[in-house]
Amino acid sequence: MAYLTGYQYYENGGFPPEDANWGSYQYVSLADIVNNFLLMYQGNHEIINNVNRYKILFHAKRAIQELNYDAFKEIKALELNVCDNLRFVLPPDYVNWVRISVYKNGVLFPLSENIQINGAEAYLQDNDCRILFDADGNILKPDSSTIDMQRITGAKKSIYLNSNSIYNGSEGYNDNGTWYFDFQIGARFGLNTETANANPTFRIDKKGGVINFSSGVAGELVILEYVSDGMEGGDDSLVTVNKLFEEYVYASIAHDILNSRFGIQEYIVNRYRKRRSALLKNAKIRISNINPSRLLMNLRGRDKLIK
Amino acid sequence: MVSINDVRETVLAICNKNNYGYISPDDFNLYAKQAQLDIFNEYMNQYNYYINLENQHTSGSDLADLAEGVREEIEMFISSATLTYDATSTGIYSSFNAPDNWYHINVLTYTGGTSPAEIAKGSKLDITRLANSNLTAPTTTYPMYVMSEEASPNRPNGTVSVIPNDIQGTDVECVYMRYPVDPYWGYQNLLNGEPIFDPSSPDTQDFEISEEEESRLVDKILEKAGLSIREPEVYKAAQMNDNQQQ
Repeated sequence: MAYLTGYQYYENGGFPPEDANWGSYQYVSLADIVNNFLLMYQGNHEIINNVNRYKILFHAKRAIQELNYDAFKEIKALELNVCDNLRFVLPPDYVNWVRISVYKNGVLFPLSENIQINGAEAYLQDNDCRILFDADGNILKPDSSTIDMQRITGAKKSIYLNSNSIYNGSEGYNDNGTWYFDFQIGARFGLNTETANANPTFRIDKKGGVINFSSGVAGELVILEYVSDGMEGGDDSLVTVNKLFEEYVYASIAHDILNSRFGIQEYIVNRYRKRRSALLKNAKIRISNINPSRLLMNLRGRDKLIK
Repeated sequence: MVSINDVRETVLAICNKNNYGYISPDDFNLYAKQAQLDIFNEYMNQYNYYINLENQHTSGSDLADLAEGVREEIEMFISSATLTYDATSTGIYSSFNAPDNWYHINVLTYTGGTSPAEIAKGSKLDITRLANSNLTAPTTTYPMYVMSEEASPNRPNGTVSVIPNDIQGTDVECVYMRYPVDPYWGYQNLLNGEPIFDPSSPDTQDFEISEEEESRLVDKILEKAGLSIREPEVYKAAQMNDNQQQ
């Protein structure tokens, strides 16, 4: 891809959208990666020869996908309003979540993933608990299971210390100036920090493609931070790689091709494996932006007294 | 370019002893065409052989760069053309007429996008799998084509099938290697029993391969002429010369 003039960069040459090229210099396009690989790493005098372009394209995309899952640290964020069904449909390019927060009163409240399930499928049963079928032999199912319905209506109790906690509203008694709270089984000692969170909770139904929240989220703005695979909805012309990872992608393509080819000596495969691994480590360190001044800022807090 | 008249005169001088080994112009033109094709077809094998020598570090550079020499010979036959779209094409492919006299398609380029995109060659055996793969399905950014000799009224030179099928019109440029033009010794009517070379005849065509191949051309034509006139000595001598020069 040719270098841009200042006018092209800042104002896209006068064409909308104006911001089309902002920040583009950080990235190298997939087209450049494939083209450069064909030019420089494949040919009559190279270790890799007679390889179809679609194989290079495949391995390049796979390398970019893997980088997007963690090393790139390119977190996407989506804000949606959650309605009474307490459901947040996952975005079309969703692969995995990073953090889910409620945006309320100008503050982001990170939510905890519920360690228990909060929804289930259900089958219709008769009074003898026998499962009911239709005329075609298919199992009959209700619109919602009981646990789903109770979660949506707010009747479901929570093990978390929020407004739906099973302890919320439980009565205690005062004996000689000390309050005691006896619960269902035994007394409560200490605090389970895993569930000691007053915010609502969520659980992701991956196959269903939705995030199911506990009842406190209805009507709230929820922000999902997530990672994608960088494939830009299948538009190859938009797929890019941060330049810090460019050399790694070449090494990864070369390794993947050599690793799957018949008759390549093991020492060559190992050489490329080591090169790929070293380049990935270098790129991760670079993109982490670890530098002395940043470390110094952290270290300045080391002697602060904890009050 | 090798003068066809020079070659014919040399061939006749060797072969035509006491008017026994006379070769008629029509026979000579047939032998000349085959001889040129023989040498042309050897270029690719030679190039491959010299590349292997280079990879074994047994070939030099500069004047000793044998592969480069053959490559230059091959590049004499590289041409380019805009392919003609066949508007009757249906299905997942866009069909184009292959270029005239093509020997090997080197590069196809789709020029209808924001930047030129190379159309990669594929196999009809793989294309269904490729099209069904999210990561490798041909797109206008990474298009593909398959070749077939199948000809039709709209595609008399063979068919270049491009996928995806929204690549149409005059958007496909082709760089290809063509066959050499057939040599032809044009002549005027017989004068005293001898045809006279006519360099101004529109049919006259010199050999397209380079001058350094002249002696091999003579040998190859002699091989064929020797067979034709059932003269084993001519055939054997010519074949021996040809083998030594390879």
